[in-house]
Amino acid sequence: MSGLDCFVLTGGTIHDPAHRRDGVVDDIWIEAGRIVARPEDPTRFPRIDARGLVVMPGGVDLHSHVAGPKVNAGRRIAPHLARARPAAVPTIQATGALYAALGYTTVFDAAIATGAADIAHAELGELPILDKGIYLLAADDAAVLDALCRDDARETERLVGAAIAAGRGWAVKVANPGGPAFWKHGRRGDHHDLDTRLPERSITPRQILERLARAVQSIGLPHALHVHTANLGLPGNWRTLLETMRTFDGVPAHLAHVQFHSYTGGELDPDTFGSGVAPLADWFNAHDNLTLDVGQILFGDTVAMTGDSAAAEHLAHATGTPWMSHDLHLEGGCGVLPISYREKSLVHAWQWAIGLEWFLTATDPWRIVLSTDHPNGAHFTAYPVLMRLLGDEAFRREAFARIHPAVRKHSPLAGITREYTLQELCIVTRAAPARIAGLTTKGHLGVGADADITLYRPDPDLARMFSMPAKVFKAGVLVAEDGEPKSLPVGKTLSALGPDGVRSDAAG
Amino acid sequence: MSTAPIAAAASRLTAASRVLVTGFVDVPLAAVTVACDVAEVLGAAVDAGSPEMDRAAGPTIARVGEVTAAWEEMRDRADLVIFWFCDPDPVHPGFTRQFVTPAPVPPRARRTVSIGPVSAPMPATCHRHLSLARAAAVDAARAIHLMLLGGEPPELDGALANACDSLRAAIDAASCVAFVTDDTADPLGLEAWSLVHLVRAISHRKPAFEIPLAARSAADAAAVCTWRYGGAGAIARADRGGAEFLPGEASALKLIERGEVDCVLAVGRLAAPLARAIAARGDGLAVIHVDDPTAAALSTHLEYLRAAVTDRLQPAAGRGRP
Repeated sequence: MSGLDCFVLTGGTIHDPAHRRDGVVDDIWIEAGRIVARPEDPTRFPRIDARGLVVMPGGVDLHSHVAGPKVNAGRRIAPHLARARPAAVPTIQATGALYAALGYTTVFDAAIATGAADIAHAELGELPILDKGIYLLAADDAAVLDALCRDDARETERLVGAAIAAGRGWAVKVANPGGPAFWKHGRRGDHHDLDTRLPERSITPRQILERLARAVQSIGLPHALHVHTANLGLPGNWRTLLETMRTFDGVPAHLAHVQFHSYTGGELDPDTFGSGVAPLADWFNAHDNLTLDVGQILFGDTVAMTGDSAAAEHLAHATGTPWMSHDLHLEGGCGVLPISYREKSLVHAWQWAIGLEWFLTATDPWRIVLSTDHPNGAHFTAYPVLMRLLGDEAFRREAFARIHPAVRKHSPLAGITREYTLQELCIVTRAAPARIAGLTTKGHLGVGADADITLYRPDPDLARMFSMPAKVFKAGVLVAEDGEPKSLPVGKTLSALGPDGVRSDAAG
Repeated sequence: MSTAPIAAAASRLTAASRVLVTGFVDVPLAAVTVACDVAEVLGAAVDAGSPEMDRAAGPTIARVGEVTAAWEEMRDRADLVIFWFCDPDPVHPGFTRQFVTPAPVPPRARRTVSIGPVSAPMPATCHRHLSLARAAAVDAARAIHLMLLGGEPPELDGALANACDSLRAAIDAASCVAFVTDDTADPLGLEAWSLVHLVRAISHRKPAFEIPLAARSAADAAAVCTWRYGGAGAIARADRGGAEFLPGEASALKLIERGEVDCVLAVGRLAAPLARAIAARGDGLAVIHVDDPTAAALSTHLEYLRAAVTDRLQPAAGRGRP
């Protein structure tokens, strides 16, 4: 079956939010790796019976960490987690096979230094099945920072465009804007707002964000500036995220792993560590230039890895965990450490509740993406559990009853009864991330789309349903069936610009 | 190219009971990946011969907590470079000329210190040699670490005490500190471990990092092995579907010394201890050496070898031709 050039999936229950198909029973026609209109001669299309199965586009992970030097460091740092099944940070082949077995067919690595792009692509060249792309940490380059300091928009666009073209990147990521400059000049811990000037430079983090977002918009990259803002993980950082959102003032921007940036506490909040989601969600819901992914944490062991070395150091000190740091000759770096999220930990329980609160109070599912910031918040293979937490209020309430009592007492999550529908789960795992990433041929099942299709068996237990698709097709090839890989084709590398700096076909 | 040597090599490899694929010193990534492909076809062990992989706990204790940086980071920013029981030029000729001698970004000026039995060849005007026996490396790292933490200095003999005092003063006066190491003669990994802790302690106060020279020379092999097999080396059997990482067991040196392999595929240059171990095995060990000064040619030779090996072992697969 996997070798068929054309076939038709018959009688499936289709969830295709981009075309407003919500549980419609219909056929999907596939030829040469794409979805096509019903042909004039349907007899040459072998039939695959999809009756009784839920049909969705292949999953798109907009924010994950699957390749590059920091991921390799994560594979090495904790041998006990490497021997787990699945490994906390799987090998590149296991990564592709596990994603595909889950029904995902596209992944983006969200933080690659421009100097590490080549080796990341070499590794991603061995990632089976999935189409893949990388976000480049172009704002860490000294020359880009110089141009941003001068507010030289043209030079900034030229340099960023050149980095994206040469590094075959899909988007520009900024991790802790200006943070590495503070970090590398020994001034850690004083980067508490967006308006502190960088050491030895006449620019603030807020100006970096403003100017960089405009540059990305002017270049015409398919995905808006991907923002990991300052003060990740610090008590009171909800104010930083709110200021970050205000900064963009109508310019498109994507806010990464907002769960890690939504904490009250610290000097300015009268109470202790808690949720700052309510004012943030209010702002977010009212400003449609913004999109976000959540970075949900789920309880268990994992490995944290980030291009934000200062955040990794803070976490290492907070947990007493040994960590690794690697600085580059550019301005970037990375930090890696093992971490265990526990239900009875006050902080971890708040993190868990804050992520869910984001999911359940953001009103427009088209602007929010399901993620765990793999592996930072949890392994991507835990996505089905997260989907059940969103779609099954009783299950969520059971889990809520197990967490730290202070969080049960104070978290707004206690009063939230919303449940995601299948259609909404389809949006936040497929349609929205594809649209937000600027992937015109993914995340939907319309004519011309890539034939990346997942068939699930309906099940009231959503975790069971989403953990083992009946069939997964990638570009029309059967790649997984009942959780088992069936073939390991090599997917496409998604590059936003060709070598000449012109927007590539892959961008759609 | 002549096919006869390739065919002969494939014949030897496929006839062997157990093959080790090793070498990799300064071998580029593309060639490493093809060499690993060959290893997978053969079910061979893979290891670059890094001393770290000879230690059962080495990879963990040496790497956890490590702060490293690119050589250019050191060149541009370090105003104190410490050669930690290391003479870099025999390991990487030209290293000091290219990365230590040039002045850092102004207004910084660089000082260098060698601690250990041998001094690095630096101009005397800005260099100091603190002579210590290799056996004192762990004690020195721990003593300086304690001093930096403000704890009670341990009881030390005169030379060690003087060296530690001098080095602590130099570290206190610096704004960015680089430690250059070469990862030799450290059978337990305690040297690496103690230095990692020292560098980490300094980095809590000011930029500080380690430049591990030996690890870099086979860095591409370590990267490929990690993303394919989950460990930087000491891979008992190359298999992307589930390999075992066995430091201290499946390291190249141990496999050769214990007679657990009867054929070695050496790709590029061999680490010196491996070359000695191979020589010591004498005729009991078949060695196939694939090398070429140009990266593309080296990859091509290995592609042909992969094809030949695949054709012999999996003739039905039909995927052998490069």
